[in-house]
Amino acid sequence: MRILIAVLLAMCFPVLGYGAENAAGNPEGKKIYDGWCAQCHGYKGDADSFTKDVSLPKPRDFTFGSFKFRSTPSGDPPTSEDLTKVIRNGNPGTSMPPWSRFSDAEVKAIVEHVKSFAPDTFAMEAKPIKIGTPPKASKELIEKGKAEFKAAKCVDCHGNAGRGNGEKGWQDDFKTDWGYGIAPADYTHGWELRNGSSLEDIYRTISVGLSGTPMTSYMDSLSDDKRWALAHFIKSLQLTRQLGLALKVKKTDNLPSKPNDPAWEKVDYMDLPIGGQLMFDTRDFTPVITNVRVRGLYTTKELAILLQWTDKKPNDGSDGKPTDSIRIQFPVKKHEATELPYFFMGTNKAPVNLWQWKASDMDKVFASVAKGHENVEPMEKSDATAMASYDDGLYSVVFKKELKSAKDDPVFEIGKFIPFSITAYDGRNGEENIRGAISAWYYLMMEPPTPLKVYVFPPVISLGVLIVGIGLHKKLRKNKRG
Amino acid sequence: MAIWELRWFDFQAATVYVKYIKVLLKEETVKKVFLGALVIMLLLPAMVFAEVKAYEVVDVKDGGSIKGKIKSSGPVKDPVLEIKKDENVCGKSAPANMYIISGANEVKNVIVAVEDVAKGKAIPKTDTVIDNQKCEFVPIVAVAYVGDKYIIKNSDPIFHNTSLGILLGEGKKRTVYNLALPNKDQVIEKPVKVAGLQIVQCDAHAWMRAFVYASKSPYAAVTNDKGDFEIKDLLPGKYKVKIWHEGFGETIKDVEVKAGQATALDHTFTKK
Ligand code: HEC
Ligand code: HEC
Ligand SMILES: [Cu+2]
Repeated sequence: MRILIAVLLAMCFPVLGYGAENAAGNPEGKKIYDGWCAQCHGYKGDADSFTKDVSLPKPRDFTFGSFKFRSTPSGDPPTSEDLTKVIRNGNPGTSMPPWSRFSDAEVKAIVEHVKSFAPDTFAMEAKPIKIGTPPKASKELIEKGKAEFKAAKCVDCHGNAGRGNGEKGWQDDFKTDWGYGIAPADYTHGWELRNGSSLEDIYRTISVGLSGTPMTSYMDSLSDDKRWALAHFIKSLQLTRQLGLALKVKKTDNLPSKPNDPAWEKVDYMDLPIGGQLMFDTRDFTPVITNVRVRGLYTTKELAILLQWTDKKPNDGSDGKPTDSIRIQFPVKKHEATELPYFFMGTNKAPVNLWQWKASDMDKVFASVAKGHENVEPMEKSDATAMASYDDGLYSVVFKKELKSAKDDPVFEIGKFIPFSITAYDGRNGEENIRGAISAWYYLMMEPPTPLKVYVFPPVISLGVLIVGIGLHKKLRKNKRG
Repeated sequence: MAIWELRWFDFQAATVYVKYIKVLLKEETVKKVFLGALVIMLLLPAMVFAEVKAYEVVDVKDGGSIKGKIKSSGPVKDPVLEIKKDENVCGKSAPANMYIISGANEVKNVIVAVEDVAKGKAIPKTDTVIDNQKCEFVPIVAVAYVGDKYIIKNSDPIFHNTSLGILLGEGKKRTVYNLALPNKDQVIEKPVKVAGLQIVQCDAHAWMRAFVYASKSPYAAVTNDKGDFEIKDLLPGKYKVKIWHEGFGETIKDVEVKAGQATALDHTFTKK
């Protein structure tokens, strides 16, 4: 067997040499590519790399010759400028980073090398479509876009509120050229739009589509003004993401009676970026929930916390997959002037209090005390309650609890910073137990009826929280640029 | 990417990459990777040397033809498609029309294509219609000619999108076109540019599929309901002929064409 392999190898050798040389369209580009891109996209451009099992979406296999991000009509290859743009800006919401370290000449060389992986595709001419000047936004135009959104059946895939939850249930069958499943984009998360979130970007996406995905090209079926109206409508759905470290919780006389009560919309909010749990087995490399929006209100008796997040397909566990779920975590004891518990499920010394809501048990709270992820004890008694709704792709869950606290409860003191963190689970993505999307520690503060002028942080904040915070801010800044 | 450009989660991922490398180094995996590499190396020459030549039109006088019948070794049951979406237009179930086989076991919708023909008669001016009708593509199998057009239609009052892609095997493809047809009687025309065997699909209705062989030469045909085909006016010479069916698969035959004669090419598929 060894000999056979050796003979075969010897046979291939001259050919291999020729092939490799031929494939390297640009030696300088190849050098940079092999050093910086190959760990994801593969040395042969075939995305055969160890990162492919730990990223969603997976790095592009260039050898297929299908390219998502183009300014050219369906069927044509991307232009050199299109490729340059993706390399420079990265790909929001994916592991494709923005590359600013290379000179223009270097990027040009990389682009030539990338093209050499799909010679057939790039043998065709690439001519960008014309993008004129966008019409000014107006209420009428957005309304027109909304009507067109239904007429052109975008709604069938993207859902009424544009969260990617089209009611037709086609998503289960969606496949890319590369053979992977895919879900329609969530427009409300503008910062995650891969092809860009500006008006022109959206217009371009609608016009030429994203090759290799079910996102199809509308250039031949919708007039120019309809596509602009659609772009305006989609732009109008984008959330304004507010990141921060602390959430103001105001006092009210009456709490809204439902999780989807419009009264909540007037309440201050904070967006929590969340990412897969990667410290312990089973890790979550491919989380799909990326943002949880938090709001709070309190009365003389109770604190209410509203958590909202997108889930393109609700799942209550009845189909054999885990149920959708969300969990909020507080330190058990008052922690002031002491270090925060470990941000994922605490430790023996510093336990945490967990309230979990599950779509399988709509109005129930599973309360427990955790001293590390392997040491979780259900609480016999907890007066925390929950109510939940699912509307057009959006889960809303309100946790409520009386302000006074028993032995293993968190402490809710007015005017103090109360640490909390979130873990969110998408059952359809196989998430449960410690496999889920997690946040760092954040704070909420019940504002005293006569509000403080300045927010002063507790004197001792664990260094970790700060670093994590900075990291997440950086991530946001990057995404904004992209 | 410099180390300080890494994000928090990347750091965490980095620690487990190490673990994955360990997995990679396990013997079993090494063998697989090695064998995989070997196969690729062996295929490489074919990939590199397969040069694309343009088709040359010449006057074909006294050419020959290939004529034949494609059969099945026995009857094969046509699958039934279960439909759970847009039933009001698509119906509740439909025959797949994958195996259209006559009483005499003659197979319809087999593509017979003479491969890599360098020169011959002019390409016919025949555009290829692909219609979305009651959530089926009509026709299910067709030949298109590079240089002519696709005429893509939607006869249904619901959304279809028609996507054509070169088949790459194992459920993979390279998109050639992906066009939205949101409205009834929408018609889109596109040039046939990319040659090869393509699958036609609709992302909205996963069961919808058709196949188009885009040919650079005029020498390709689809069998009729008697399993018959005829390819005319070939320059005399030796050819490779691809015989392909959605369900039965593919076979390649060597055929010699002689001036003024019809060469017989029959084939019988056996369902595996
Ligand atoms: C950490 C992994 C990673 C690294 C390193 C990386 N990429 Fe990517 N890249 C990705 C992922 C993931 C995608 C796919 C995003 C998607 O599918 O939306 C992608 C997409 C792309 C695309 C878009 C292709 C299309 O369909 O339009 C290009 C071009 C690209 N990368 C080039 C590069 C180049 C050049 C480098 C090196 C300078 C590089 N990438 C480094 C992960 C990476
Ligand atoms: C057949 C289903 C389908 C239809 C119909 C559809 N889309 Fe999409 N769309 C998708 C999918 C799937 C994606 C996600 C692609 C990805 O993540 O690469 C997407 C992504 C998008 C994006 C985001 C691209 C990005 O930058 O990340 C926009 C904007 C969009 N679609 C707009 C529209 C509009 C407007 C219409 C109607 C005119 C429409 N889509 C119709 C399936 C569809
Ligand atoms: Cu369809």
